[in-house]
Amino acid sequence: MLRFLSRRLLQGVFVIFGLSIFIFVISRIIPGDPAKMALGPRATETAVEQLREEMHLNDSIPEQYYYWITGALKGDLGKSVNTKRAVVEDVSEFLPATIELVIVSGIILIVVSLLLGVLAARYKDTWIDALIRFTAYIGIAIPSFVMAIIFLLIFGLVLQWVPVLGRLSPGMTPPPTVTGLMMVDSLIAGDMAAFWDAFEHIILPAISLALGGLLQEARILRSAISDNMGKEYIAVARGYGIPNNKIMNKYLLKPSMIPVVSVMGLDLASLMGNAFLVEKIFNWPGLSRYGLNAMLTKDLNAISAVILIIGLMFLVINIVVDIIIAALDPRIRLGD
Amino acid sequence: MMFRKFNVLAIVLAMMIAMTGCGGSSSNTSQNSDASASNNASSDAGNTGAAAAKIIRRSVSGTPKVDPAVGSDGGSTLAMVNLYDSLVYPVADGTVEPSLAESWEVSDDNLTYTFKVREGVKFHNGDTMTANDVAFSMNRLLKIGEGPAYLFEGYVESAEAADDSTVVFHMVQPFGPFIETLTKLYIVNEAQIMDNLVADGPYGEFGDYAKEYMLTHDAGTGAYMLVDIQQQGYVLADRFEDYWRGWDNTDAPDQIKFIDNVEASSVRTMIGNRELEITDEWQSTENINAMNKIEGVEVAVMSTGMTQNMMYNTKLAPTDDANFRKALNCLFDYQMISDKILIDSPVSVGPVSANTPGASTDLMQYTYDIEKAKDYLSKSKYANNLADYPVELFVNSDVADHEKIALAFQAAAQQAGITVDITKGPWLAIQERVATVESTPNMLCISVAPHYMEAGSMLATRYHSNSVGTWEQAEWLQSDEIDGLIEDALATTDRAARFEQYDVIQKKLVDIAPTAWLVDLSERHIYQSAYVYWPVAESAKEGTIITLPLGYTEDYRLFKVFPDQIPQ
Repeated sequence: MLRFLSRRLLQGVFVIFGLSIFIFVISRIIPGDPAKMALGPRATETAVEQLREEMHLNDSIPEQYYYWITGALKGDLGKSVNTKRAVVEDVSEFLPATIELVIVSGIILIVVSLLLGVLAARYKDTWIDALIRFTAYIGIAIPSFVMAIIFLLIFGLVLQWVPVLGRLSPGMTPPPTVTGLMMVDSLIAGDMAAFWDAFEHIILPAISLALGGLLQEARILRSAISDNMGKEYIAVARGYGIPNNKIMNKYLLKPSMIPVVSVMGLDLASLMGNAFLVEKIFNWPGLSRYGLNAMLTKDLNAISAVILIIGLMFLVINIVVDIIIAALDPRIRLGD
Repeated sequence: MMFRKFNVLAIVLAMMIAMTGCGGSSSNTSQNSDASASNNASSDAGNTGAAAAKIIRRSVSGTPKVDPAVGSDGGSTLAMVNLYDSLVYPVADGTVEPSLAESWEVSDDNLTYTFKVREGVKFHNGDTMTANDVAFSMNRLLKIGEGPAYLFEGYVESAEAADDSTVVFHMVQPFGPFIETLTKLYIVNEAQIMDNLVADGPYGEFGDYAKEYMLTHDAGTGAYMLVDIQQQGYVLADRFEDYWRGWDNTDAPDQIKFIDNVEASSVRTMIGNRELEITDEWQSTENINAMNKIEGVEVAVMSTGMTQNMMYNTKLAPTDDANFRKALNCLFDYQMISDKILIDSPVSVGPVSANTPGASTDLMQYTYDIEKAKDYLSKSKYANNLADYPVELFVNSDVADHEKIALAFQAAAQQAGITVDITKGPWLAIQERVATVESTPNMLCISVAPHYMEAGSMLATRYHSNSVGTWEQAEWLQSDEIDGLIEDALATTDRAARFEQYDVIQKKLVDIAPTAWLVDLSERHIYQSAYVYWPVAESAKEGTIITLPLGYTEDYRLFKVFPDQIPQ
């Protein structure tokens, strides 16, 4: 296990290093002067030149990369031309909101996809299975941001069941920041009103974000369970008179989970990337929305930071997924 | 609270039930309705509570900057007008009246402006404003070179205080509309700025000129004072009780909040839930129409002198030919655009919006006429090989109305034998495309507002060579004659004489047709008319569309909020 971890971490360092070069170069070679874009068309030449100097834009790209990477290694990701603050300060403010959204979304994704997958397999070829499959086709086909708009208008405007914008209601005092995760901090502070308010705010964006992935996982789990159901060891178990529920829980679910966990791992990592538009629609002050604004305004340092963080999350989740798969299937040896 | 909890659980359950096909029972529906009704009541109560503090919440694109030497976009300008004061205040007829300045004098050579500054005006931190603060504000703006500094660069050499109540501006050269541009010089507190400098900065002895401090603090005398600013969130300001103009308007909002969100569905939801009093100017006609159906909501119409243009790249074939451009001008159905697409926006009469002082209103305007277009085409050097010269028309992919204009034009152009290729891209792409003459498309659909209320601002911004390469001039006109005329006009201090020179320039521009001037673009906002009184909107209802510089149509101290009239 240790050998596997150290090998994957070493690979990860190279991947992140490669990603940093790739995104750095791509963001800098697209046309347009970031300094002029940041200051507007009418900024004085002196101001534009000053910003160009500050951002090292007059140097060659390798030199620019050197300045950026040495800064990044010291925890300095440069300055955002949008917010005019240090990117590290922006990231530390916006990342917890996205992490909280991704965690809640991930929990919904895992729990509901397993529930639906098992239900569809258990009641295979019945109306329940048909309905879940039909819903899955629609859910997978509709992008999460469209789902977000639909939910916002139905539950936020027409029904007005929940507050839909931001992380807390305007009159609510935020709990003292400990983790940056509003729900967790509310619990730590023992402020249940704030906890519930935060939960109300997060539920629709989290469901919008999770829906496409969870329906896909439910489909995969149903197929895997169906395939395994036809295997001889299941027939033998049935022959021994083991009840169906026990067969499902003890002999079918675990091996059927392997393909689901692989895809789920990617989907969980993708939640952060997919959160771009969902955060925008629900006015969620997270890192993805920050990244989207950065891309629309060519905020170079912010773009590099956001993509690096998303890349890092992909890496960590992939390692975790590999470990889980190995735990589910002893035939897979992590050290090999 | 219990019902609200039920609703959240109901949403989660509803999703699961919908997916497993067990939903839709009458009992579920009935329970949800009850819960919803209860929740609505609590939600409205919450809004009433919020509005009891008399708040105006307004959506904006991007978190406004509150440093007058840095911000100049729409949201920032709104914040400036409410957090700061300027020496002069704009009037709807295009002139200005004294504000922080009580009076002013101009030297005979038009190179020195002396202002008598109002005494006893308090900054938000309690300091008293003096002429030193005014001089410092101008010098800081010029040194930083961002925000509205471009208005003064090349014209103002420096500013200095002669005494506590007299400030003198030294000019590099005469600048006719100087007084009008001062509506954008917002006065900051020198002591507050100097106390908060970061020594290590690019401005020598002034360090960072407190740019970092001013990210989260204001230093103004305005009617509202900054309380909180959250990036990607909002800017919140409270009423400044010691405001020098006083508070005769007892129904004025106690709080104002600029919410960084222009997403159509979010804005519509906030308006429907009475969580937003005024929408931004970026909502599509469809969304405005949809919101307009909500009870207690109306459309407010006003003008900032903005025009909707179709810019032609005059250096790129085939739009480098004047007759070809004139032919294109005949292919726009101006009246249809005004009636159906950009509603409440009258057809343009020339390069400058008709209600901007100095605009010529007796110019030849093109009309939709395909036969006339063919006639112009026959005189063009591309008459015999039109098929070899398709025209690229670029539109902002975020503005649905512009695409409609492009599609209507494309259909008309086809009838005249011209192939029009429509390309779309975000704002970033527009800025990249117009950066060089080679990459600028043949046609670009874009709106531009004057920086101060005079024709000279629009003419300089749009057609002087120093604005090529920016989104404000995709024409690449680069005409020495036009440059010279604009410079001469701006240097003319006599208003009537200056306006005559503007007239000459506008006639010349119509003659060479670098642009199709489509409509004088009115700003349309949805607002909560049931409980918000907005002076500019009231004038529009009576048939007078008020024109004021950007930001001044929303001077919130003039608004009235009646929380008890919120529709239940």
